[in-house]
Amino acid sequence: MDQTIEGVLAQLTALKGVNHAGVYSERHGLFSTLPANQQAGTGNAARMIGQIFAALRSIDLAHNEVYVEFDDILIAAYEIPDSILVLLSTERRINFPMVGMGVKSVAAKIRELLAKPAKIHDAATLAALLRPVEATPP
Amino acid sequence: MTIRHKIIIVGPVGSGKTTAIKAVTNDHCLVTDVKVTDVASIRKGMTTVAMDFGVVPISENEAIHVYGAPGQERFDFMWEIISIGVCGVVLLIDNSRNYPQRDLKAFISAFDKQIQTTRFILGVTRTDVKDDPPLEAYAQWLGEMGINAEVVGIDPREKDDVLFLLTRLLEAGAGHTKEPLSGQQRPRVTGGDGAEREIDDVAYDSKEDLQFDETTLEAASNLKGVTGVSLTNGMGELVRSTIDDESLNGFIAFLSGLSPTLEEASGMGRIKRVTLKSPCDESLTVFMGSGGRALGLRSERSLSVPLLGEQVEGLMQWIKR
Repeated sequence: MDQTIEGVLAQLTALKGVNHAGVYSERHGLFSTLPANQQAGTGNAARMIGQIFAALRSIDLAHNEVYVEFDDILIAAYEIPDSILVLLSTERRINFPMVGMGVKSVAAKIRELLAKPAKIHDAATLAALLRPVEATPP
Repeated sequence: MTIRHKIIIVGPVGSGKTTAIKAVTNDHCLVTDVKVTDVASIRKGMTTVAMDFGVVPISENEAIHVYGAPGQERFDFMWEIISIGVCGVVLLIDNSRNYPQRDLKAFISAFDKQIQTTRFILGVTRTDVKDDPPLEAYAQWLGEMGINAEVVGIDPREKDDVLFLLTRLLEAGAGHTKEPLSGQQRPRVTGGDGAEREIDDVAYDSKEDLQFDETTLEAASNLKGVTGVSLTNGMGELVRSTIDDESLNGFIAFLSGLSPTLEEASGMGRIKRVTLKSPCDESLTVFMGSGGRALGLRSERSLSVPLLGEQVEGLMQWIKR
């Protein structure tokens, strides 16, 4: 089995009715299978869904699944421990128990993968870190 | 050898599918009606749970095999089964429901694949009970969805009307690109008298947004499995609630206030409803309506989310104010 976030996302998109999958945490940002032109919007949606879960906790409610039904798509968001969100873009009609169980089955793996030091994706930061020591800083 | 044309009739509960099949086959058909146990009982006593079926001979060696699908979304597994091998889809929309445009969009979305690849025709029923929206509005809405199909006003109790609809479907062109049509390309409209109507340039308003008020709240609070209902206005203020928990009411208002921002930030379109599930607390579903109004429903954990959605949609379609 592929022991990477990409591998976990592939497991989630293999579930019937799931078109795209993503994992979001404040610390790591969004990892997803979405096309580049939808990443920003989904990242914004993830942040706001995180806000919904935070509001629920503030009034001592334990809801950990949010389904947002838009005109044509359904966004299913699951909060797993460490305030990590699993986001799925799905068909309007899905098998909720099957998808929920699919998310639970990969939750521990996601936590484990995100607990590792974060990879640096920002090209400028990476270039600065990889600069030879004798080079003059820009 | 007899040539068989398989046609399916689809549409919301009470739009006249079974009536049409009975009429066109002189009652020589198979029906699977049972007593209604959900909100459809507001309108009728019996409903189709599997399918209706009848054979309509149209010439010595040609016959239409007509199948009627159940209207409730929870029977959508039947929609897939009876769609196999169809050569055309008839969609019946009941003009007297409160939000016929919602029905139109929902069924076109559900039968998208069949509509794009086979023939399609729209039959509008109960125009004698309610003539608004006019047939031309449906032509406009179909055009906006890129479907260049004929719109016909029919009475499903009349054999000739149903036969006319079926034969027009067989004459129609197959395939719809789903690219919005220009004004000149608007679908053809045929009135209940069978005469083709002139297409006007009037732009018809969208009538999709649900209008929540205190009557809705009363009716929704009687739905099976619902334990509390809350209504908020466009400012996020509580209009009325049967939920005692003040913080839960506050959360419903927060969610309805957050929705426009979420729509804008995500770029995913309009939010119809938000459902929250918990391993120990009751479920919460917030339906977004017109003017920023929202209807929040607290329900038993065991109540299926899609079923609750279907019940509320059904209620909103038939509720009288």
